[in-house]
Amino acid sequence: MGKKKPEMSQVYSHSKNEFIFGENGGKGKHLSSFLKNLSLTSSSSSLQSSTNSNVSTNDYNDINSNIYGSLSYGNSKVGSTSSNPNGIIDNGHRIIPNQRSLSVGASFSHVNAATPPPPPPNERSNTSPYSHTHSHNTGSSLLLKGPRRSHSTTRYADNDDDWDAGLEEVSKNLKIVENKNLSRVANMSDSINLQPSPVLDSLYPDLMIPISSGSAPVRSRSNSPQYKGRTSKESLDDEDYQIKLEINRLNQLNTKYSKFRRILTSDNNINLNELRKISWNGIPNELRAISWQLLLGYLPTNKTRQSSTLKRKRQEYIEGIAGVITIDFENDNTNNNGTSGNISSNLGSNNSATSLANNNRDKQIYHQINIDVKRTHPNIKLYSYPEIQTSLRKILYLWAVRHPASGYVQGINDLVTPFFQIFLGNYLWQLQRTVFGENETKLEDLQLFIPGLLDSENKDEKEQSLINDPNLLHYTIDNIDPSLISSRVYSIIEADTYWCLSRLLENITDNYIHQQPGIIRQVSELKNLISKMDLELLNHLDNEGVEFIQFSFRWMNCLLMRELSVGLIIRMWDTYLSETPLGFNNFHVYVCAAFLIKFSNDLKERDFQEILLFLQNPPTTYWKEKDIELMLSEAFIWQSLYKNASAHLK
Amino acid sequence: MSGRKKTLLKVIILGDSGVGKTSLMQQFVNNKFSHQYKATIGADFLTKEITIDNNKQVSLQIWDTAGQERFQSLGVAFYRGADCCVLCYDVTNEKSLNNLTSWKDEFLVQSNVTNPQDFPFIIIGNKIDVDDSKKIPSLQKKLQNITNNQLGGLNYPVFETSAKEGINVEAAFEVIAKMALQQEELNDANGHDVSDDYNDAINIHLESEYSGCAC
Repeated sequence: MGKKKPEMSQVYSHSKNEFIFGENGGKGKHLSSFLKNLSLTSSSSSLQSSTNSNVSTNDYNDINSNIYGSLSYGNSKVGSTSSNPNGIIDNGHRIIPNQRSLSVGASFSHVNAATPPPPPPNERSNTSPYSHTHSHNTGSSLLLKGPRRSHSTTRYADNDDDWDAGLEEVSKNLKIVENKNLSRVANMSDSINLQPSPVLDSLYPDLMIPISSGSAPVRSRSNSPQYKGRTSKESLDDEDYQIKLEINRLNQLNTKYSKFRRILTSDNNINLNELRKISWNGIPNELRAISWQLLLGYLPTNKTRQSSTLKRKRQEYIEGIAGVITIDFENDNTNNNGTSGNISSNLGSNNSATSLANNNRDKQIYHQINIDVKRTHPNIKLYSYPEIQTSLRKILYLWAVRHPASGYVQGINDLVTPFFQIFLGNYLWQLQRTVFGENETKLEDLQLFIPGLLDSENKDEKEQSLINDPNLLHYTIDNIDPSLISSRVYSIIEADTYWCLSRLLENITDNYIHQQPGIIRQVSELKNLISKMDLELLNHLDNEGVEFIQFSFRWMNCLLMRELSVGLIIRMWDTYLSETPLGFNNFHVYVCAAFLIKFSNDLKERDFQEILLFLQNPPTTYWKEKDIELMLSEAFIWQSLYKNASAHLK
Repeated sequence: MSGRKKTLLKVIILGDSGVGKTSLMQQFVNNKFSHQYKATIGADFLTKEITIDNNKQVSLQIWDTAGQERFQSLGVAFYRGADCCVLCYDVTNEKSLNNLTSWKDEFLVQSNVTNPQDFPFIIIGNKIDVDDSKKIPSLQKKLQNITNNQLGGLNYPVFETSAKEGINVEAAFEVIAKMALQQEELNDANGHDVSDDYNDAINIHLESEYSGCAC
């Protein structure tokens, strides 16, 4: 596209080296050429890095053992599937330079080089590890501060002179390759009032460094006041240690992305099992849309069939919407004697009695959907826009009339949103990547794009405007004005959302049919699990007269979407979608059990009313992805323990 | 009940989806209104302590239920031990008015109350703050048809409220509390607790440190 900035490609032109610290890690020649290309030549770092690249195995082991030791949850999955390719160790931290500035430089450039398309600075920074590190590449020492800020502790407080010096040196070097475009971006990010995304700290950083162990040496030392400004040998070692951890973390992050990229681009037939394995531990934001569609079986793994299949499915959706019943979806008027929108039946001529009955039923369904769409995620701005609400109404309504056994049930309006916002976000990313991405990877990029989302014929006027929009790089689902996106795109996103939602709901059909037997079963399974996991808690709940259905019905009906922020739910779905069978049914019960047990101690001190009030509003406001990941890992362990052993205990 | 025990009264709010059940409860308990309530799934409750008949302290445990028909089978879990049932409709939505009878029937079936004939119900018509033009045409007449019908009519007190502007909400709940207290005393006098141990479990004591809702 015409907007591409050549200077930019300098910065990003090395994603081909993405395995530099990965499987091929330690190949110094990659690294040195790589640093050279990044103009990091003022120091001898590139040379040193190649000589130091096979750094002592001791250091390497140290780091890993530390990470392992303090990351019980990270291990659970890894440990239980010993050959897991997502393991924490196998990602090759074979390059652990001894020089501080060098190591920072290495990791720094590394991240930049392998960073996928520059998502806009700041705006997605708390959701994407990639954009996060990238967002500070305009030369500030924030690079290493950024991820740290998202931790609840200050154990990496950047209060050491040496540390900053190293960074400054690097940032100076990096400024060589800085360009107008990037500075413009940086400036804009200051001037535009970007809403902080309500979501998360970055995906992987927390997985890579000690989190929960309060006894981690780094943490306790850097927290102590006298640590500030210390220059003793000890503190230097300490810094080394911190830096190594940081490198480790960045390597991990990059390796993860590379692995996804490899799986998604390597073959003509995408290896779904490999994708499942790696997705279980979280999918990079940029690749989530395509990964989800693959995991759900909506997007074919065979690449030659992808375009045609999606085209057909999207056409089906459009015909479905235009078909049996015509509704003025843009009319959200509710005060129409209990029905809303203008609904008219095209069936009329055949059998007027049937069509009248259908019409009444459909009116009811539409009324229910309409009032629920208006109160879907009322605190997320995106869902307050009429365009978005119209899309949700269409998707939900079509699903409801196509599934008469359940129809629309409250709570499905929650379930539709993760798909919708992930696919919408993906559209913005594709645009950004197309405009700002580098030439070398364009072909490969195409394989990472969900087919057909971008307009290949350049006829979509709104898309053309977006491409030429100076703010394009800043747009995210949190700040985009939905009227800037064309109806062509909405119908595609709606179709994809519709089909993915359908796939998801196929797994839990019983949850929404008459009497909701699926939920009743899940609730009783949950109780059964708690009797094995925490009998004391079960007894306490019994003694207080608390019934499981009183608090966990909603957990099943809305898949915990009322208890956890949508960002956390999205991370959770990475794992659910990687389970076979999909985790929305049985695995979800284990997750609910892990969730309940989290509050075991709180609950045991409370009486009936307090328990229910507590569970109506569980304290998850400050939960991070690491909390979710811990919970998922616990659920996984419980499942491995009890999955095949529950029958005889009933 | 002993003098030291605070009477706990369980109140169930029923009615079609979107008539404002959550808003009514929130307005009464927390004196606030918000456009940001999500659809209730299952049921939520809040409690509020009030004084009725000048000196009688009671604790109202108000259950706000989901309005969608699909959730009705859940009633058993939530209705049990109720002392009063509030039937809500939306003064702009005729269907919600017409559905009051089936909400009442559904409640009686699922709550298994001992005195279905004279169990205390009360009717609340919410959203009176909206334009008259949007209200149900000849509402009073239709309402009378429903309440005065000799056979199975809903011959109960009616309150018209605005949860949004806090109109009549307090007054309605005062009546609710009185009716619920009568029902509770009736049950006590008859010596059979509506649901034995369950009811005991939710009685809280004066000396407990519980102080209002945590949300």
